[in-house]
Amino acid sequence: MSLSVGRGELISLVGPSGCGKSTLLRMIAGLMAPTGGSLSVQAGSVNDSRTAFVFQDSNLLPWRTVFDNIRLPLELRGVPFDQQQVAVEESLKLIGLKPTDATKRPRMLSGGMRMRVSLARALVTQPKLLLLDEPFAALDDLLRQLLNEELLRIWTEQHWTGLFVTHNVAEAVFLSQRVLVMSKSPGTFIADIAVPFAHPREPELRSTLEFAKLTGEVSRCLREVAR
Amino acid sequence: MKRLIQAALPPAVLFGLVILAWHFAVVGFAIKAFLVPKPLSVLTAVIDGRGELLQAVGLTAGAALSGFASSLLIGTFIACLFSQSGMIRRSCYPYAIFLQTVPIIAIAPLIVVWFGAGVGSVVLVSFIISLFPIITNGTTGLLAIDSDLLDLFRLYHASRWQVLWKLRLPHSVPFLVTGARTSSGLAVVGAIVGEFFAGYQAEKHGLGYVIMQAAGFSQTDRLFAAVLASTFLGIAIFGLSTIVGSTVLRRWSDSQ
Repeated sequence: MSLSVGRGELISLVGPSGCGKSTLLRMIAGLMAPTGGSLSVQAGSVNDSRTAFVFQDSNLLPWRTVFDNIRLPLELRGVPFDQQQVAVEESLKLIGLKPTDATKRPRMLSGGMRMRVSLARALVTQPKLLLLDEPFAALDDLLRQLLNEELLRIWTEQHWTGLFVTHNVAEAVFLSQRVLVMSKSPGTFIADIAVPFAHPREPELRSTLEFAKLTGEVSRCLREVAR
Repeated sequence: MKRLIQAALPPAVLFGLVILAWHFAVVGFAIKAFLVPKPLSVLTAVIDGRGELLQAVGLTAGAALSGFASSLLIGTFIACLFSQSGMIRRSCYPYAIFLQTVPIIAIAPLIVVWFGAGVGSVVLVSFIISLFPIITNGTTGLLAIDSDLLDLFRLYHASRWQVLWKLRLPHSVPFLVTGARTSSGLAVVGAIVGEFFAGYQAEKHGLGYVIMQAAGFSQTDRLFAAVLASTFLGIAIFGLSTIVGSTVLRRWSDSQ
């Protein structure tokens, strides 16, 4: 299989369960070694510290406050505390969290808020490549739409390269510039569907005919793969 | 306040009933005082011997707390070692179980032979008996880490030390609290058992020695008083560790 992603592109990966979307993402992140073939990532190579990963679960440390959770990557990298503080404050603002939220502990937050903190933790490192493994799968639909819009806004501001794994077709189409459809084992890409909508994308885009046509096309591909 | 009363009242009533039953049983069946003393004479023994008892409680508490504290420190350290190497864990764990299964009363005399009578041996017995729960609970907590969390640390190239210090150890705190709760009770038992054998050469005597001596002289009321004092000491130390533990847990745990 081959995959090329341009710098600053935001791409979604969809496919049936078990087709290896998450595995691919983990290999790109350097968390798993490929069993064969080679993998090179230019926007910051594999194992580069400028790669960030957002997990399906918010994956926060329950004993740390929001502030301490977000600064974790910087702390591990040995960034001085005052710089950590500045970066965390920026990150909080970017993701739409109040400064008063910084002292809260994860258990006091809702699922959506936790996912925001998880995103803030990934963005605090100013990644060149952001890998997202079904980050909003556990959220209700409205919350998912809101966070999609937030994520897209941040992307248009920062223009990192993004790879977004999801099961949700509408989410994939709304977010990305290309939707890649993966087939079940052996994992290959069977379709590469361009999403031509201009940025910034408004929430109303979801109720347009063009949007419906595209989601229909992606769904059709997925249905073929699932057979 | 209402909840406190609800919690405290039933056991208090039961306590009163048992004391009454005890009193009337001793009087009614004319049980000899050296077998079972009347509750009132136990109370008298507590009041008359309060100086000796308080001192004994103080000494035993000191030994138990020292044993407990050292098992907490050293047990956590050993658990950290176990978490770092499967080899160390596999080769040493059977001997850690040995600590749990060996009857402490059987090795206490040996400890006195090796380390002499005195506070040191008492603390050592208390330490040995309270070490195991810390090791097992600590090791479990250090190893039972969600793989996504480990991945997160790996993603940011955390060193082994950072993973231990910033992920494994904080994660194991609730487990250590559970272990400490068990250990705290055991530490008191260990201190008293230690004093049975090692408490006799000092000028001041702990509860274990008072118990042995009172039993030797058939001073049953004094014996009861000492047992009562040991029980309260155990409850106090257990309560203390529970309070400290739940305070810590309030900060740590995921659920509310």
